[in-house]
Amino acid sequence: MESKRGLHAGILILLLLASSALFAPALAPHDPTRQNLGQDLLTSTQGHPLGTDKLGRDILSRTIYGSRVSLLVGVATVALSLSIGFALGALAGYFGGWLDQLLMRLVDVLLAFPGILLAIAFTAVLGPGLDHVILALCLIGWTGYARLVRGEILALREREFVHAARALGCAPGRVILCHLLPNLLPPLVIQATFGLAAAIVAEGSLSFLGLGVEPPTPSWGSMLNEGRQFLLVAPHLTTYPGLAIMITVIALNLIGDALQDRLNSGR
Amino acid sequence: MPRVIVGLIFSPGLRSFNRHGIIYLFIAVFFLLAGCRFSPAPEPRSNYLVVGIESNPLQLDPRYSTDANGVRIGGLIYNSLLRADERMRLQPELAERWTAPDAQTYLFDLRRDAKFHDGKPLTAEDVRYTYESILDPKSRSPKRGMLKPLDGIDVLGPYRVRFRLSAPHAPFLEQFTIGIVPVGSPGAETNAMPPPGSGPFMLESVNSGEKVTLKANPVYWEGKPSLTGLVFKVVPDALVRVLEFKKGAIGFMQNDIEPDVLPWLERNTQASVAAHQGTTFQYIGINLTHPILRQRKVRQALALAIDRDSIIRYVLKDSVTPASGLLSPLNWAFDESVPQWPYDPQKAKRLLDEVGYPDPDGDGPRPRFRVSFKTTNIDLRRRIAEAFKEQLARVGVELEIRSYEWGTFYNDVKKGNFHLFSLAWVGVADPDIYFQLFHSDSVPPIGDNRGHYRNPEIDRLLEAGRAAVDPAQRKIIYGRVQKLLAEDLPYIPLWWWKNVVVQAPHVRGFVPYPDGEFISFKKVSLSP
Repeated sequence: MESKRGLHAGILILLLLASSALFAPALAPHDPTRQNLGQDLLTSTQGHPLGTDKLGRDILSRTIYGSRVSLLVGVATVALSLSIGFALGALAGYFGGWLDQLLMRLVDVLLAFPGILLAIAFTAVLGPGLDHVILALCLIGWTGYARLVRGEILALREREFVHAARALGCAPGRVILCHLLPNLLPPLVIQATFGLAAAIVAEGSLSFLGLGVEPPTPSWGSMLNEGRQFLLVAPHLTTYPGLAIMITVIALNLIGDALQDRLNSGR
Repeated sequence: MPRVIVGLIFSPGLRSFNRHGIIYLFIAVFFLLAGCRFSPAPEPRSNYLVVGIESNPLQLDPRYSTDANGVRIGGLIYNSLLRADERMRLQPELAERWTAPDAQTYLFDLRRDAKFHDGKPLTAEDVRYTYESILDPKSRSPKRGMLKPLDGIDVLGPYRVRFRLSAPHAPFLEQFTIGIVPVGSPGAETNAMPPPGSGPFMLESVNSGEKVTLKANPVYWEGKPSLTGLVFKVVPDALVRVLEFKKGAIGFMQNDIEPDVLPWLERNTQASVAAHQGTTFQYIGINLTHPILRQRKVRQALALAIDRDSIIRYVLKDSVTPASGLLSPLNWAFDESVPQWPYDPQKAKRLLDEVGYPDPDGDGPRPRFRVSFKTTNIDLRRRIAEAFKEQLARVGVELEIRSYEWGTFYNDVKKGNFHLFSLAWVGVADPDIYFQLFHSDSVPPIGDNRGHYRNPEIDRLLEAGRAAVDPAQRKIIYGRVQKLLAEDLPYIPLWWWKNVVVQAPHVRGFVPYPDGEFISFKKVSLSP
């Protein structure tokens, strides 16, 4: 019951978030990049309910538009990582042998690096930008999916329905995609939900370090970074993007928890 | 990576989290809090002044130091033959007397009471050794090139030394501000501690990346400093530096503080905050090999489209003054008749129309042209870049901001890999710096003409300014240079930074220098 409520709350928050990203131009009261230098660091006023930043830009509008970057990075990172991780994990798990050894050692090597440090190094070399952030997060992101898929396939490949499919002459690709993938979906979806939350936090971290999207595009991490130097005089600059990240991550974790509970009870 | 992050929090699954989670959580939180607690303010050593600095000094040996903090801290350890005073005029320091019998010769009589920190007297042999060790190719000193006009050094007695130049070269006077080290001091490649100096403070310890501690020289020829010592504490983050100041762990800071935080500091810490005219010049560098930017009217339009006054007033809170060019009003060669470019977007649009870049859709989204603007990823620099972007968009020019960490950014600038960039020149003294920046022979790697500016008239004037010895004649030459450059705009001048000094109420007697020098610490005292 508790997990069901969490699932509903999480989905509701996520829907609201997705809607705000989708309808940002209609919802935002101002252009998020429009500057008004004489109106800097305002706290809540009639025209700017959440105040303005150092360049006089509306914080509410920037927070709404910031959800676009966060969701885009999260979804793109998970989609790319999941695709790569699934393909390589399935190859390793299904065929085993030297291919499995090779791929899993590669995973071990990548996991030996602290993920965020590798992402920082990657974006520092390539320069800031949305595409570089997504690539940097995928660099290690796929390894978790690859391990999960390999482990699950190792358990599934000796089951009767897989033997039956092989006996009927199904090619390995068909076995993986048509017979194994449906069985892998539940754990993959749970992993992807947590991955989405982690990618949003990681994007925030990279943008906070000045390695994320280029200004003046608003993102929650870059808003936190911009507001950091004004913590003493205008704490609201960091409060709202910080809250936005927190609420999003909680929503995704609630969904992930609920799905995991359902899967575990189902097993 | 998502798996790793999530795994750290949730592994091995929510069920075990529920069973043992609370205990683990308490243990984790306990250690986390123990690790994150505020460190108590270190007990200040008696009569030591703690100075907060933003970066670690790279080199203290005056033969090698070129970074700002290395030069400033080194200036307290080493004396030089001459030193610029608080009005940028060269005054004798180790030189008791000095004369220039002709345009190629300088004769110095040294003080007889100057001693190195190891007790040995400072003599003419030490002066010769210092300069010859810089000239030695094996030393790989970055200052070697600046001594190129030097033909030879003659020791005429224990306290008398003569410098001979191969040709008249007025800017060479600046080279007499290099700190003197004892005969036999090893080069920087040995990784040894810097050699002893003869300045008001001596090196006590160096904790790389953390702090540099100096103690007062008890036998300094001007008298022992009032302070027992100085601790230069490296705190890279401006906000943390401010919080350390509030906590009392730092008693003095200069520059690199967010302008909006200064009033807060005054209200909450009883700090004395003062801004003084400085010489650091901020500009927009332009690549003149770019087909659009090579046109003078385009550069003039960009200068007219930038609303410097608004940026200065609202973003920089008057911590700068608008600049007409490289030389500040404190420089002897500054020409006050050089005009500044006012904010005039309409005129900027007309100029761009004239040179064939009409706005394709009026106020619509399509720009006249796009150029990139490179800057560092320091918050304030990015904020200023964003203001430029908005202002240039109003005249139909799209600026693509590219911000990089310092090493990548500077490497690109040195290689000429940019359209526009913003940087500052620090420590501008002799106007001969124009030769290094704008003479057509000074393109990298020889000089710093990174935008590949070429103007035969400027070349001729800069060569004449270098050869002339009479200051009045040089002032006329460099006045002409300033006017030509203000018209031609190989750089768009932005502003001169003020030196912002924040000191605790018990710090007395600090005199600010235009280039941010710390030398007046020799006269600073701490009231009880």
